[in-house]
Amino acid sequence: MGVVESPGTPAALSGATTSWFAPSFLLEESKLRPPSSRPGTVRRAGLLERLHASSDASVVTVVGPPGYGKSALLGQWVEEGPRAVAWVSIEDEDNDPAVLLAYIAAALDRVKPIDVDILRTRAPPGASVAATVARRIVATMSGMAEPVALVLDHTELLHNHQCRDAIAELAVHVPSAGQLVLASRGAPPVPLARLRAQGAVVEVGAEDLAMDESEALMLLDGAGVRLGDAEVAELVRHTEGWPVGLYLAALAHKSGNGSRKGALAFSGDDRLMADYLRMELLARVPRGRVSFLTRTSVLERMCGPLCDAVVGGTHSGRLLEALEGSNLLVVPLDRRREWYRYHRLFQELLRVELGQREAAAVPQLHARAAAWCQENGLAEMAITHAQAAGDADQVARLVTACALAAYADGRLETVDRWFRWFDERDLIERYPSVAVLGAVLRAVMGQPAAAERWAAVAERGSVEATLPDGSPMESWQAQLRAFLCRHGVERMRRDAQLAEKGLAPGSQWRASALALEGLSWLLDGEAERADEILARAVDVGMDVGALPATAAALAERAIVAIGRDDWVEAEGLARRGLAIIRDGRLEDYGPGAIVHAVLARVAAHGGDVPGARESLGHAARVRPQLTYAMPALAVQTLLELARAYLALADAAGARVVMREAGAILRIRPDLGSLPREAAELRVTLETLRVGSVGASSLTAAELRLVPLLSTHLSFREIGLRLHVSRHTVKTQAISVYRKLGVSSRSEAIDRVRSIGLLA
Amino acid sequence: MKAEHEDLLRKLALNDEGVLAPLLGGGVADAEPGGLDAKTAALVRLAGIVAIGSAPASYQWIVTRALAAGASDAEVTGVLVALAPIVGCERVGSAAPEVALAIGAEFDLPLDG
Repeated sequence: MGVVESPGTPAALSGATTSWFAPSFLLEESKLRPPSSRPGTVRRAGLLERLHASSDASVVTVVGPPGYGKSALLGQWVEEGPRAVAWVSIEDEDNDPAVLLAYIAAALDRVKPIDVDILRTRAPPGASVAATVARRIVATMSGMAEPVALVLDHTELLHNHQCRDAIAELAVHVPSAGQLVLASRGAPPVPLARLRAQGAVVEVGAEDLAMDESEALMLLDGAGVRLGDAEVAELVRHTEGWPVGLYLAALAHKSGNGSRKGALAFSGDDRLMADYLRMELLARVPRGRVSFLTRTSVLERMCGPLCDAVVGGTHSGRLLEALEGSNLLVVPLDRRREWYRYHRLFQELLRVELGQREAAAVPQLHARAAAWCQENGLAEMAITHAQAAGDADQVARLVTACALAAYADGRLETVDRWFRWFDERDLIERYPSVAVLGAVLRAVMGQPAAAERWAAVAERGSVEATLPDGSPMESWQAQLRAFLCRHGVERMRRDAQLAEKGLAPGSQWRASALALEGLSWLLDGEAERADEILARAVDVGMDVGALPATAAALAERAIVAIGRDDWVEAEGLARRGLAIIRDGRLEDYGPGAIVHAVLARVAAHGGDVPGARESLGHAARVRPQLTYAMPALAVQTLLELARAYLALADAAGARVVMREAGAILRIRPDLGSLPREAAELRVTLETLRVGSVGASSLTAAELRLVPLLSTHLSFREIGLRLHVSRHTVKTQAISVYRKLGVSSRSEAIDRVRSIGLLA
Repeated sequence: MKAEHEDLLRKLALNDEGVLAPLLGGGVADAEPGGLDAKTAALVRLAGIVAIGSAPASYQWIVTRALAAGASDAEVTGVLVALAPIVGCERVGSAAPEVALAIGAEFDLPLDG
């Protein structure tokens, strides 16, 4: 079979898996492995035949309630099929496009090492993610020598809009000879009507998955249970062929006193099933073991020491091994038999049981799990448990320590979820350190109102203790104030200096504190002094690995060089900035726009019109993120863009960015030399004739729409995503078409790609 | 292959300048009719389409040109106010959301769902 087996070490859990994308979160190898069939598993001959015969369908859906053997069927299909298969078992954590893409990339990489570049660039923050993610996967699949099937198991767990849209997008664009296979408890997130109309989908439903009498007989046989034909028929009728029901009935029967009545007294219903589990299955397990099972069901993944910590025992490791040996309900996650998880359905039932037996103990169990995870370097897993335990103090500590790394890794949804947890519980007030981070990250992501709200909280709070980077809270607060620059450039400088003085030597913030101080001098006309400090910002930034701040500082130095009319030096500095952005995969992050702006100016100065246009295209993609939440950098970037447009004699493009700069200046007028520069630029603009109004004059709102045009979403659906009416979307789309000089959506997509507005 | 007339209809619906210019005697794209600068000309045209109650695409087109010619958001909005006594509040009211959209306002005025 085509799946390259993973190395089988618990490297998965130390993160040392694929070198090229080295995500800062733990890549769970076991999620990339199809379930292997075990002795006694019934081969679903009829269904397999159907699946094998449908290799030309681009999409296969396997949909049925829990316990219908969806994963098992696909596992058998993978084992028997001639086709290369990339497998991902979706989990809750995958509700972040960056995480989902990382797993799909890793799965494809297992089939055949993939072209790194295709998946390197992160999807930009915002609404374009779905299409970007899907397009990169399609490109990767198309680039493979042999056709590959991508299997996504448990797609019902995807509730994030962007992830669901990405899957839908993928379904519509599966490369020829490739296949997308989705297993789900509910309707999968694909446009089924459209796929049906095209005859592109094969659908396997619960009625197909239900076992007939001969399959039931084989199942009972495999479990070592002998029943007469009539009894089997009766059992199939009662369970409606529900495989897990049949299986549990067999187990009950085997354990001796399972009365025939008991074995037949349930049907395919979750609640009855839970009762059944309690009566028939757990009743036969020794008391101590029942509580082990129910208590450890709070864990998504478990190993001996973790279970010991949670249940307070010492032999969990051996117990897990024994459980694995005795039935099918525990799944090993690595070959060393260190990590396990429960079969999903079994875990759900155990959790229900736990809730009925000792609901009050649940938070305590999570608290123990959180403590263990934290001690053992599994910080993000610890966050989940600490949240379930309701231990806000610990969540705050962990999030404060993890948020920057996760953000730098592009997992915006994950970070957002952590912050939302505090927001939803009205807990921000209690954790100023979380509020500082939340405010800065929201400012960078172009959410000014949210940034302001969190900043207000961060300012009010005081914390005695030192923060995870070893700095005092006052320094973080000063850094935030400098960043938001609400009271002018001079105040920004004082705040940046204050922050820099107090920050711990290894703090990530130091580079950006220095960069902001340098910017403040530059905006005060002290170019030389600015350059000195910016040079230090670059050194410090390289040292502590603060990439966005380093790139921005290099771009600022380039602006200083342009001021000296030293264009060669400027180009060198800006190119270094660009290299950092590329290596750090930060191309679509707001603060990186200044690098593109400077490069556009350099190119325009050198007469390289296509080069300048390309840089302006890159900058346009992130322009919607430039808001008054980081006013100095935003306005400076927009003015640099205006200069580049002017150098290209593009009055319409220059006016659009000038209007955006003007809007920010109205809210934050005290930005040193920037208001004067803006006024001068406006005067220059007056003298320029307006040529045709083209792509460069797309507004921020239109730029937000552009990525969504490349999806299958209708205008109404796009409106829902952007929180505007269908009419608004339609009108903006028409405007986009006209500015691009096209007359249809598909032409528009081609055009925006060719001018670099879309990755 | 798209039929030519389909393409033409589409472009007309979009107010595509390349198609409209020849229809209007070539004077649209770079029209600075006698004595009017580009900005004033665009604002006057805006008044015209408000008065006749044009399609949304027209608002996008004219307002974009006005902005590109250096008109401020306030000047564009000012046209609506100046027109109200002449064409009536009703007409100005229905034009307002289109103008708001065209200047790229970051808010949703009440429009049809």
